[in-house]
Amino acid sequence: MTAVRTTGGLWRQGAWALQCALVMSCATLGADADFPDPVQTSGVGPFRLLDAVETGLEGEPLGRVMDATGATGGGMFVEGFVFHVHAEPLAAPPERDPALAAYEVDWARFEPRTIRRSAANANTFGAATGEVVLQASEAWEGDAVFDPWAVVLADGTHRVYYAAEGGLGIAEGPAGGALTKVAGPIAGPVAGARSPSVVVADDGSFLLFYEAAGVLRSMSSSDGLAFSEDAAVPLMDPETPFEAGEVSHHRPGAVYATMPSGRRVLRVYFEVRLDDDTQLVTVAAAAADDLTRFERLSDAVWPGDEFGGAPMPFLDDEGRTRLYFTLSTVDPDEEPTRTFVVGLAPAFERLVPLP
Amino acid sequence: MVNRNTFVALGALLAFAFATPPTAHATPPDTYGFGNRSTALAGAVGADVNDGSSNYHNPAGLAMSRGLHIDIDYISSSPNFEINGERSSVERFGALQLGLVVPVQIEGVTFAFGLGLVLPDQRLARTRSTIVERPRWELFDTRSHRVFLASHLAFSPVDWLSLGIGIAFQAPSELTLDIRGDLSLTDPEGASRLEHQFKGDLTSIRYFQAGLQLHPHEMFSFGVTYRGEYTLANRIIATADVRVARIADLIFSLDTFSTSLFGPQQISISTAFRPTDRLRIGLELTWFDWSKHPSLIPTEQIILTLDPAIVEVPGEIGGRSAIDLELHDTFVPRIGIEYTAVKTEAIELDLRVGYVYENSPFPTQRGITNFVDADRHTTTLGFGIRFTDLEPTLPGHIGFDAYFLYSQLVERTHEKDSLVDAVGDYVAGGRIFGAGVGVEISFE
Repeated sequence: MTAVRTTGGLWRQGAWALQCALVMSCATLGADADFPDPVQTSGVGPFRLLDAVETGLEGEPLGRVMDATGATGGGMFVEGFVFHVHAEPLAAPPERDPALAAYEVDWARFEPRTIRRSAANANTFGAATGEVVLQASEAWEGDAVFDPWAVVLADGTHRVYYAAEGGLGIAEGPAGGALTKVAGPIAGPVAGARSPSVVVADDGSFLLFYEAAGVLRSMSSSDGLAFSEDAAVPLMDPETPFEAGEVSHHRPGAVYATMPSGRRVLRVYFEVRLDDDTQLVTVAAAAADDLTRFERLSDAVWPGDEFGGAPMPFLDDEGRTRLYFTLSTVDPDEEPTRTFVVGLAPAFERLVPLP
Repeated sequence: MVNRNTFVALGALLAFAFATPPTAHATPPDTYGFGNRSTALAGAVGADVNDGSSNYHNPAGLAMSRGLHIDIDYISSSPNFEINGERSSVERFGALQLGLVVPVQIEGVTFAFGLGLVLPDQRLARTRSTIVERPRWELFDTRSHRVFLASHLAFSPVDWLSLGIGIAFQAPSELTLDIRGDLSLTDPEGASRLEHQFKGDLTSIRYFQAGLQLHPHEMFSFGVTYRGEYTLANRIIATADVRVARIADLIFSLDTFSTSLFGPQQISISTAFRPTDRLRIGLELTWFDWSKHPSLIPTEQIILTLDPAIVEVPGEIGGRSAIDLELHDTFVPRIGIEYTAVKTEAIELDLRVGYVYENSPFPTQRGITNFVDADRHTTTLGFGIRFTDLEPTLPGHIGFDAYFLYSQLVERTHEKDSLVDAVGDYVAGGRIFGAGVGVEISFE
């Protein structure tokens, strides 16, 4: 009797074990899993050029903001408008300046530069060629106006800072309306000031960055019209120097950003010219409450070798950075005209979903 | 009563222990618990556990089991983590858990053998190298995705004392790729003569676990559990010795060594208090030796030479070095309360609740690394129903258990020292929803 019960017990236990084994054998089913998603909130790139779906512009070169003839000096985006510099080639241009780098535009071979304003295309991030909104008219301006930087004032007015032969000027007008020159040349910046970039601080004051003699400089103002306290921007050396030596810094483009941590940062994108006759675009950043120390990226924000230049950032509501900048033209045998392009960081994000 | 068998058993346990190299937390049980009842009690069970989950919580409990005991559970946990408000891609973890306890009595001394197995339902093991610039939920992304297997021996020389010891297994890997021969630049497919050899070596490592239970009074019991440290390393060696177009020798050597998984040694002290025969309160405190965690950044040595130098070799090729993670030790408190709401000759119904607080061993990620973690508050609720009058169909009892688990990972801000960091600042937090169901079969 005992032996029978033991055999029965063993059988029942064996049956349970068999059922366990069957369940386990079906349990492990493989599946692919994604790597963790990338994150970037620092705006340092590397940027990628927008594709045709995002710009709405088919064909080459990729990332161009608009289909335009002539040469471009770059531009910036504000409130649905792109302000940019444009010039058509002269019918009988003079000889090219041999001192210029191969990728640089020789503006003397073009008609006087003007500042155009284009409305951004609906649902994409390209733009039309637009209309001329500023051209040289004052004696101090010489024959051209260029390097536009637009700021939206509290009352909605568009104020455009720009450069001309005699320094920096200011024009204002309603959004999309005619611009009226209100000041220029601005008193304060050192001689030869170019490439103004103005940001409005949290306290309502204005901070002007500009270049002069290959050095980035800054000034402050309470009204954005009269600037003071001119000083060189305190750029730190990059942690790892570039392989070629730095010759000069140009075309500052500044933007305030709020990190997810809540801290405010002021980023300045700019052009670096190197002693091997190349140039690149990089960025420096400072805490908004301590502008005495701008930490520099040890790399270019645009990884390509097309000599990026004239960076002008725009931070969207999602925290993404669109960088409007210029690249050397595709064919080195042609007249250098540069191409006005727009890049995005983080590069893994999209502005327009793929169809 | 301590007799000759006690000394024999003690000798066997020590031999079992020293036969294993002490080289093993970061296993699925560390992250998601082991055993339905034990998880429902937040793991505060080391002082009196005696079911299949003893194989993780305290092997000494094996010898306190009253008969052959089998636990089969299925658990599922869904991490819902966010970084900067965006859902992180940390996948669900589901696993089958098996616990086995086989006790025997020899001349008044109880011996027991135990086996614990966690079999994930997605894969047996996963190793993913670290991408430094990509924030990763380090304790949840990869670590738990592997099999946990542990076997133990325990004995109880007297009613109030039991000892247990055992080993758990994991597998590091070493992969080698050798390429040799001639490479034609003009006709690489037709004229090249290259041969390669690939070798994969999945060896096993063992680490030991030990435990002690004291039952000095029917109202109190105490437990101590030790879990050993282990490091799973992955090594990949690739070499190429190739004659290029009969004019140059290309020598390439890559040797990368990375830690894919580290389990810190742990010591748990626990107590269980039973003020009435229906109420049990368990408390446990665990020390995790996280500060010994090696770097998760692979050490790489890359050698690339071309002789003669017919093309320029990029200067940036040269490998990278490990970075100290600066983890700190943690103390994890747990409490689990069980109340027997129904108790008759035929049926018992237990209600369970637990809480555990796990402070993160990872520091705020201020530098170039991005190992995301956060302090974790976990609350559990569960029940178990046990049918005890099953003779003659089953000479024992059968029970069904279930639990629900909720973990809140406190949002944490990672502010970078560098304003031009490749990633930048981020805020990370989240929650885990988990549940488990199981059946226990016990043969008297």
